[in-house]
Amino acid sequence: MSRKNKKFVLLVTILITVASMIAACGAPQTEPPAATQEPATEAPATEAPTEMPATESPTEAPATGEATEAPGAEGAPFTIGISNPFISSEYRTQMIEELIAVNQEYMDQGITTELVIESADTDVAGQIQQLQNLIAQDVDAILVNPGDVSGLNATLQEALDAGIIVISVDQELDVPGVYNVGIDQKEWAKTSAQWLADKLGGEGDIVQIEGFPGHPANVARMEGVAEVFAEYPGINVLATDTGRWDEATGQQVMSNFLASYPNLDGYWTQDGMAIGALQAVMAANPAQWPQGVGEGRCQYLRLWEEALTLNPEFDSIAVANHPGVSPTGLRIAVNMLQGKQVDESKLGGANDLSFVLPLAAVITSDNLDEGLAMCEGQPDAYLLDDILTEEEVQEFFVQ
Amino acid sequence: MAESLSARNIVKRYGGVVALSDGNLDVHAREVVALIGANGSGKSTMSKVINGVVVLDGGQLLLDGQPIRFTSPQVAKNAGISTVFQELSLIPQMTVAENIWLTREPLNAFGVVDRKAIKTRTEELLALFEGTYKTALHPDSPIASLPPDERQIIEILKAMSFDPWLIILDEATASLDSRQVQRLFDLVAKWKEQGKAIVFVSHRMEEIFRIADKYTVLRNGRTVGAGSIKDINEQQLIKLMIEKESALGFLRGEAKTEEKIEKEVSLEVENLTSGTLRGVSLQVHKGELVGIGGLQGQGQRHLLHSLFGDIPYSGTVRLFHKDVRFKHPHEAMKAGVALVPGDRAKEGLLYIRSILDNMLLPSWRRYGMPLKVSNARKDAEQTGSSLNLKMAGLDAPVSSLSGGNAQKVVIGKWLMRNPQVLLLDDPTKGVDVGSKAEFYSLLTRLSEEGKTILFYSSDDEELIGLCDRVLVMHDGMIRTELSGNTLTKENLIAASLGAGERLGGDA
Amino acid sequence: MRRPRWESLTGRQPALFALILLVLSIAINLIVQPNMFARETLNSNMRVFLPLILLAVGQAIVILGGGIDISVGAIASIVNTVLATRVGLDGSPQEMWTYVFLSLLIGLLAGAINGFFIAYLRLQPIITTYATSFLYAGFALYILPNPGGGIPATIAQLYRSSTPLNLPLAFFIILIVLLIWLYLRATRYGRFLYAVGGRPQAAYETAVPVTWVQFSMYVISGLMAALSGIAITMLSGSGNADIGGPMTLNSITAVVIGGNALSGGIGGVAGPIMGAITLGVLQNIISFADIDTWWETFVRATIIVVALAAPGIVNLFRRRQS
Repeated sequence: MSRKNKKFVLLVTILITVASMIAACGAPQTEPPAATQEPATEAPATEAPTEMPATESPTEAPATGEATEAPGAEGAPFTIGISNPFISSEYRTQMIEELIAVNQEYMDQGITTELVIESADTDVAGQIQQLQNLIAQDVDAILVNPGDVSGLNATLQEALDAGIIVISVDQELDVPGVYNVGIDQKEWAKTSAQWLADKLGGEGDIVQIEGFPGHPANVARMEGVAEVFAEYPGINVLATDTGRWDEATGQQVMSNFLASYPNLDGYWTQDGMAIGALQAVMAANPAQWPQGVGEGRCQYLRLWEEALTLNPEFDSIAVANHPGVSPTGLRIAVNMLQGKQVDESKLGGANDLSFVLPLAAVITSDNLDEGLAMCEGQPDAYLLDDILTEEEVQEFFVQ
Repeated sequence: MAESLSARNIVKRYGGVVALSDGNLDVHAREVVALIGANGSGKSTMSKVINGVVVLDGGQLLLDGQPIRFTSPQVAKNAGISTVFQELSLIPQMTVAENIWLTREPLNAFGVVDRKAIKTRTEELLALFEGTYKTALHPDSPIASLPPDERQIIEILKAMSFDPWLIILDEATASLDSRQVQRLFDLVAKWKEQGKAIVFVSHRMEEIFRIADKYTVLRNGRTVGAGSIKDINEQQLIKLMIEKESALGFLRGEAKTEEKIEKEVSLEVENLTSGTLRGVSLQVHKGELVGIGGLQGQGQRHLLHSLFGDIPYSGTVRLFHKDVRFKHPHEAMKAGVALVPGDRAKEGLLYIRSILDNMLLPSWRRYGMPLKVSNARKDAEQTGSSLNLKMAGLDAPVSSLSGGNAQKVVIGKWLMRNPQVLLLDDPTKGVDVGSKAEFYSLLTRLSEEGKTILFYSSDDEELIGLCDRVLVMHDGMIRTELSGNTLTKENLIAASLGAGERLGGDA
Repeated sequence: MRRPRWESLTGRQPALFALILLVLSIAINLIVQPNMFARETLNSNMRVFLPLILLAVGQAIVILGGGIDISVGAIASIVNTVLATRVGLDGSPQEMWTYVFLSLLIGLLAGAINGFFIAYLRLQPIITTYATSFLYAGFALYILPNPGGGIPATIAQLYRSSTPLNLPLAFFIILIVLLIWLYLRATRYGRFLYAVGGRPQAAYETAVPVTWVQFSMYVISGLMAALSGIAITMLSGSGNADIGGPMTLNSITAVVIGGNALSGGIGGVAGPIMGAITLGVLQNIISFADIDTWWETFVRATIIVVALAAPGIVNLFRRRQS
């Protein structure tokens, strides 16, 4: 008896599947674009048009100039999609929060609708799916923080072919038509390496703690560091190990280094590993403290302040690798959507397709107080940041 | 078809345990040889040697007088030897037909299994037992859904499907009812006519005398007798199975059994019924050591676990004149009942934890929250020394102890709760001789202290040497009660095998 | 008492749950994404799902045989790096097909190494393949330390946008895999696989070549992992030594959702294929339903846990009834 029932249920489910497949195949092919708009937009779609004419002019003085030539009004409000394949870090958290905040400005002006955010821990195939979903939702622009340097190329090309503006943030891609927005990772690393070399007077024994070997950003940074130290024959790199961009691992690696090389003069490291490294130094409290590179995070600046009470001789530098590049990228995308012409002469990077942004903040002992002031009221995880204003972004466009 | 198979001076060891030290067996076409022996005498090992499941450590197999080596079951199968395994060689997840024809599926031209042919052939085989199984047994029924007797039938049909010349029936009748047994024996008779040979491993004397032509008796891994069944009777066979003298000296309690009986009844069970138990009634007195005997798997374990609240049951259990019904071992423990399990590794001990941790496990509650470790340690040390536990220290892991000492920890952890009723589930299995002797004196002492002890053992000598009374179980019931003069090895084995006249007591 | 036909197709009854889950998730996806069955959308979804599907098929066969293969993702990574470095962005089609062939050999070899350790040396499957996964991942990293390289865009395009008969290419590949499986299942080998996974001791006593079956299933798994690696390379068009790693756990999840028992002997391949598609569709639902980013991981994990627990719950009810 029960078997018969089961068979029946099965038959019904199969029929439903087949029926739904047939029904679905027929319907959307006749009018595919109309069908997709609905789910993502909802509330803002209704509000935006009424608000748009009112808010357009009185925003900011220089903005009025563009408002006249803003042909973007044709397609406005624009929908912008975000694809982010990694969420378990403060950098990404801050990035998403800032993107939402900056987009809110544009939404208030009726220029954009709510962001379509595809953000989850996923692999290359998963990010391809994220992008495909964004394309399927007919977004006007995609801001992608790529999890792979070239694995997304074909999919991004499809987005371009569909007339979508694609901006890659934080990681330079080589796809004609895709613009990159970010800092120069090599320059970023060189800044702190140069400081260390100067601090040590061009002589001394140092160690290096790097991120994931093989990760493009890490490779670019370590190249920069190597270039700087190559100019100082007196600087002797005793060892390099990976802290895997992890605070705890960084601490462990530094502890090992301190045990093996008690007379260390300095260390170079990056990102969250710097906090671990400094904690290791403070815990070991060697007779001679090495001078070390830090990071532009409030937690580090506060730790640095604490370290000075233990050993006033300690010195450090914090260069922010700031998440603000993404909201800046959003501004660039909006301007492009509004039809502004990118000033190609201002672009840099490996393939001259990159908006290279200035470093956000360089904190040394001279301006540590300022840095701490910036952290006032911010959580430990906060990264010193800078988002280009609407006016600053205009630099990159043909006036 | 081959004419004969002989095993000569077979040796087989499992680790340090010698299962067979000098096994001999001859079997010829057109005859049934009964392979007989007490628990652990090496019968099953002997059949595994003949069918190639285990590789022998010494001795020789001769097929038609020619030496042959069975390196795998495949080789033995190719030589025409097929087995009905005691622990069934069926895959529960697969169907009846898939199981029977596994490795010999008829294939069509594309190498695809011919389901139709399999089905037809399976139905033909099933017809041999038609009318003896209860549910509608179908070639497509999954094995997992069948009751034990039907699984046994499938196992027999599977062995037949190989069309072997030698069939080994290892306890094949154990889970069959009388009609099914009769059907099997009809088949055996037919096989004999067809020129096949049969090795019949069984405990049931009645069956042996019904179908066997020859007998071979194993004792402690050694063949101690062989011959024609016509020339021997039941009593003589049982004598052959029993060792002449015991290697161990037992210390039976000073007090006479009669004195104990006068003491109060501490544990009373009436008509206890559960899955395998079919109405067990018994009485145990305070300070009495009562043994439970019989072949393995006759419900002895079920009885002990039911009393401990492990297995649901119906019937009445009275403990010190009070009706009790334990739903969980925890309740039994509270009422002063302790169970020393048989499988130390699985049920009794946390091997990687320290001796102290293990001993403390059932009684940590008594040492408060937080634990008063020093008190616990003192008590544990006392218990350890009273048991003569040989250990490096209480903090050493149990895994560092020998089998006998590990078993003492299992008992020790219950003794720390000072239980009034001790249930022992084959506690000396795999324990060395020295530890056994110590264990026996401990049991005697405990019983003299007035504890009530119910003691299941697969070692008949232990039961005879230690216990005041022995209850022999068979098929979920107490078949015979032996005590005083009737408590002899002959009677015990005869009762276990269900042979001969009933020897008093309640059945 | 006769069992329905489809059951003999997918193994025993457990695949039923996978089917219900798949139909349910497709229905929900259809609500939030009405054009889901449009040719382009269907194709773009299926081409992303295919690498995991292929991996899950191999994993399913190993699990069916009572083993597990933690190294499948790493084998896919090796294949990806080999193709990306040896063929290159401007390689010729001939080169591509040569290395596709070589990739299959690599998969066979990697699987044979696993099989040798597990079947012949009798090592624990989970530990062995966990160890070899590092070996293989390390080898992939050695071939291609930094992400890059690639295969010709025209070949990637062939995979990405071929839709014969207006159906995604992936459909045909799945169909072929399924047909091969159904054939394999109907042969003696199929019976051996179920027997070895069900009760190896009983299979051994019945003279099933247990060791050989165990060895062969890892070889099959390696081969499927290589196919998965080829598919993912054609999908991404580039090389990355970490590309396969995250797929391993998903492949096991897909198999379990598909109704195969992790203890072996129960299930089939159709269930795990449905399980893999369900996992992909879930991601679509989550993104289209506009679930708040921070809840996304949580929601996905919850759905998976429920999916894993459900067969057990179904069984519980069944036992209650009987």
